[in-house]
Amino acid sequence: MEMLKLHHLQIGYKAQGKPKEVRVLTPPINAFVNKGEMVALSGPNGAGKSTLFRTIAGMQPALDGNIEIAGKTLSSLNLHQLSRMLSIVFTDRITDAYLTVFDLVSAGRYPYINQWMQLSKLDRQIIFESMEMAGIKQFASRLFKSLSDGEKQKVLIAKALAQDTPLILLDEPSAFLDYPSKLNLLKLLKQLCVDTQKTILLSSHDLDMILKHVDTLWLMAPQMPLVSGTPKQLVENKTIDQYFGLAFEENV
Amino acid sequence: MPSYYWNVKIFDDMATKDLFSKFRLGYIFLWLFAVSCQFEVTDNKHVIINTLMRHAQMIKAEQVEYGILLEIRSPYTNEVSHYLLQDSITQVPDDFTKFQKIKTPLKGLIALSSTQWTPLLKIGKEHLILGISESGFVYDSVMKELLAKGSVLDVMKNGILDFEKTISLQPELILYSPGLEVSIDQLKRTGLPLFMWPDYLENSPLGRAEWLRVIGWLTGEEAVTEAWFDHIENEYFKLKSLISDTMPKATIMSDKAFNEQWYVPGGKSYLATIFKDAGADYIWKGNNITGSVALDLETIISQASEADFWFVTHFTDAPYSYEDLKNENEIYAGFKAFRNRKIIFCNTFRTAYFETSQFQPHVVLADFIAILHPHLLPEHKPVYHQLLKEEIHDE
Amino acid sequence: MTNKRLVSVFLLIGLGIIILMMANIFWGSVLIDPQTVIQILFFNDEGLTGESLIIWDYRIPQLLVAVFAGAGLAVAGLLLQTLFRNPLADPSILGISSGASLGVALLLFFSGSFAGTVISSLGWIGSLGISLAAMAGAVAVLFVLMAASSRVNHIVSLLIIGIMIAYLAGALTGLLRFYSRKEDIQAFVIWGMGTFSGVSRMQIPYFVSAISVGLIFSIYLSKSLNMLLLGERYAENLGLNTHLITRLIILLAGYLTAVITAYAGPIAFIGLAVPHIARNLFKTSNHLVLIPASIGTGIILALVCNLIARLPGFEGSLPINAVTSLIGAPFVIAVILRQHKSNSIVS
Repeated sequence: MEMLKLHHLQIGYKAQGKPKEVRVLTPPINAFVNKGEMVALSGPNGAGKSTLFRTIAGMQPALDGNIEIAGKTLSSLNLHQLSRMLSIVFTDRITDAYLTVFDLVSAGRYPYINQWMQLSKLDRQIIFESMEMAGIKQFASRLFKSLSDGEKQKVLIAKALAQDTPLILLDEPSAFLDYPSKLNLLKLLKQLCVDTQKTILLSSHDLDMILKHVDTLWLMAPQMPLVSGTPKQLVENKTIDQYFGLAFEENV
Repeated sequence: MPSYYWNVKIFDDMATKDLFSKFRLGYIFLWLFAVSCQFEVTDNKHVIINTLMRHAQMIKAEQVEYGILLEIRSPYTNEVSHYLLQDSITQVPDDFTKFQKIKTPLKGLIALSSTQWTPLLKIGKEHLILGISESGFVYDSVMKELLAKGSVLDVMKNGILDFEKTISLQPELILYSPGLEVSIDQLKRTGLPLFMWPDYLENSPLGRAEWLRVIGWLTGEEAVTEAWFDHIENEYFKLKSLISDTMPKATIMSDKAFNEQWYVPGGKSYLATIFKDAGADYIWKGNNITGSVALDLETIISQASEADFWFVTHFTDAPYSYEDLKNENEIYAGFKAFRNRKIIFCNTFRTAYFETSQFQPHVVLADFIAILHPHLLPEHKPVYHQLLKEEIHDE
Repeated sequence: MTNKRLVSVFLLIGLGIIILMMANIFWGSVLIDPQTVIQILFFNDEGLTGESLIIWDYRIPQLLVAVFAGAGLAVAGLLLQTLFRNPLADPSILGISSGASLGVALLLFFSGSFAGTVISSLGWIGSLGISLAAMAGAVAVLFVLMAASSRVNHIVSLLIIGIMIAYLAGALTGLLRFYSRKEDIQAFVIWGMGTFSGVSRMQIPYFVSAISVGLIFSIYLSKSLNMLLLGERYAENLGLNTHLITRLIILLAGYLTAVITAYAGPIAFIGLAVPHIARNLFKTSNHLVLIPASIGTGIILALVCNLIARLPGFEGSLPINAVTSLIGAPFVIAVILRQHKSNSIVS
């Protein structure tokens, strides 16, 4: 089953006040992600990875084409419906002083609870399961700001799990982590895919790391079409070299 | 509108004034001219026995059968208040309802301005004063003593009314100046009877002084206050008559910078009248403004730096000299009056200027005449104003 | 924070409010013995006109203004601090207070120097006129902010625009002062000192209901505010229409500030200090707790300041603005130092 389907998708920006002037970042994108699959999006800076992420998340309109999530067209979903379909882990820093790990993970339940935020038994169960899966249950009552970067990332993943969406997007989840934490994180994500049949799309620069863990790799580069394939295929047919350019080739 | 001013115009003439000063309250005197007038404030016609004010323009007072009708207006707020002073409770016709009735003599009042309580002290009615305002600025030693004893309370500081104290004093009347809207609003909330006192908006010296007559009516001491004002009026006119139109007149300018602006008295202001009556040629006599005019330094220099005299007031507890003035602004030193040491100075901290000068316009006038025309009053001892003294030697 | 502790802290705050309210009623610049006060409050006030007037027309209105201004400013501050995720945000930072000041300055100075007779003949002088002018100024700034919020993408840009508006309004006010009469400047200065006693008994119901509406509405925003704590993008991903909520929050904070400034003048510091104190007291980021906590803490701070302003010797003339800053600033410093200390222990 296709969890995410991009059909003739054009991403880019419209000049403000001048709707005819558009800046298209890549040729039209056609791609899909199957349920329970873990896909990594990679490519050099300026390729439009973040723009693609924002477009899929519904935070930026597509210039053309459409996006389907679990068979539903993105543009037909309202914010509330979307919040139950897709959860995102951003690189944004959360700085509030008194937010506990439990508070943050339970925020994942906001799309399901009313104005007065009373958590039902089921909500609590989901929250604790999410923390357990992310391996942070022992931090539940700790202040979020007191955790290390790797632990924080896991809390945010637990929050995404608590949001209970079939599709999870992670924007550069490994960006601020040290090597063991990166490894740890990708193993965790892979495990989640297998255990919960969640579909995960993440963007990353850490090629060597993701090559080992993801099912499918999407490559983007400025003004080049998005290519999709297994890491093995893309390495063997030298697409990676092509997309990352010469400098990278020499390093490999 | 014209009826408002007519009394002043007429009494400008000295001869008629003398005639009028003979009329006193309590005399029942039918007088041709007054009868022909109607009190225009109400729609009904009342027999006016006597019109009472001679110089003041902000207040119109009429002696009628039932007491004294007062119409007081403040051009500042465009407010008009009507009062009926009665020394005995008598039934009054319905059309008097818009008049606030005040039973005289008063037994206790709050006088928020020093120009209200000063005449009360002078006529020995200090026991009527329950409260005043801004006690930190009181100069009068008697008032200071009353405050220290606690027999007079300070009910307003920095323009903020102490509601509770004011209420607890239970004054029969609060005399207030219609300057600060914020404070007036606070006063209105007390629900206590108020009496507007826009004396400081009078632009003639005698007009300001004449408000002391109202104090007499309110306290039942009109015999004293009428005599007092007659004396002031006589003295003022006597001094004024020393100056003739043909005399040579020195030019005079006024004030100094405040916040980089000069607020100079308008050509029809209180000070401009004093300058004129003292035989000086005021630089800005030409305009029709009764308040003050804001001018910038360049205008001042071009219009006034060569004036013969310069009138400066300053509020300080330290000695004040030419040097101090120069330290405030170097440019001052270039003014002709500065170079020639012809600065007429009044230290409003070291004199009771704010409290008493209003009731001594003749003394103020004499101060100026003695400086501007020394030969006319060789014996005069300065009270409020004198030439600024050289306390620091010249450079 | 456990529920038990939560309840006990709220009870403590409630108790504090009751004690302070009593103190504000029983104590003033005129001594009225407690028996008389009780007589006036609960029985008849025959033969006690003066005292009754002091209690019912002065102390109680003043108390209510302090209570609702304290609560309203605290909530406005909390809303803005959460929206901008900036601990320095407060009702004055968006230029709303400055707009109100400009409105009052325009009224006072223009009525005096330029169009005196026109404005004053409309009866627009006095506290009602000043309230209306303050409201008009605040609403005008609010309007500009709303227009700006639809044109900028980043909340920080909006913050900067707000600060610039504050400077602009401040500069215009300064300019007006320059050309004004001394009496008008004095009136403006008095207004600027702030007061809890500027609302008459007749106006109290309007003031109280206007603020209450805002406070109740703010509680309904709790969930949205909690989401905003995570940042706009997370909030949006959780289903929040951040554009709409941003405007609602600015509108609500602006409304509270405008009403309070109109009636009590620009009261400084409560909006800034109280959310910090409330957060520290309850150790939570949950707005369902923080909003009532800020309301309670705001009321306490306002009542304490009101009592201090009435200390013997000051006789009610101590500007409330000076007192709020005097009390508020050390509090905030202490809170921050404590926070810093606890941080370094953890990490």
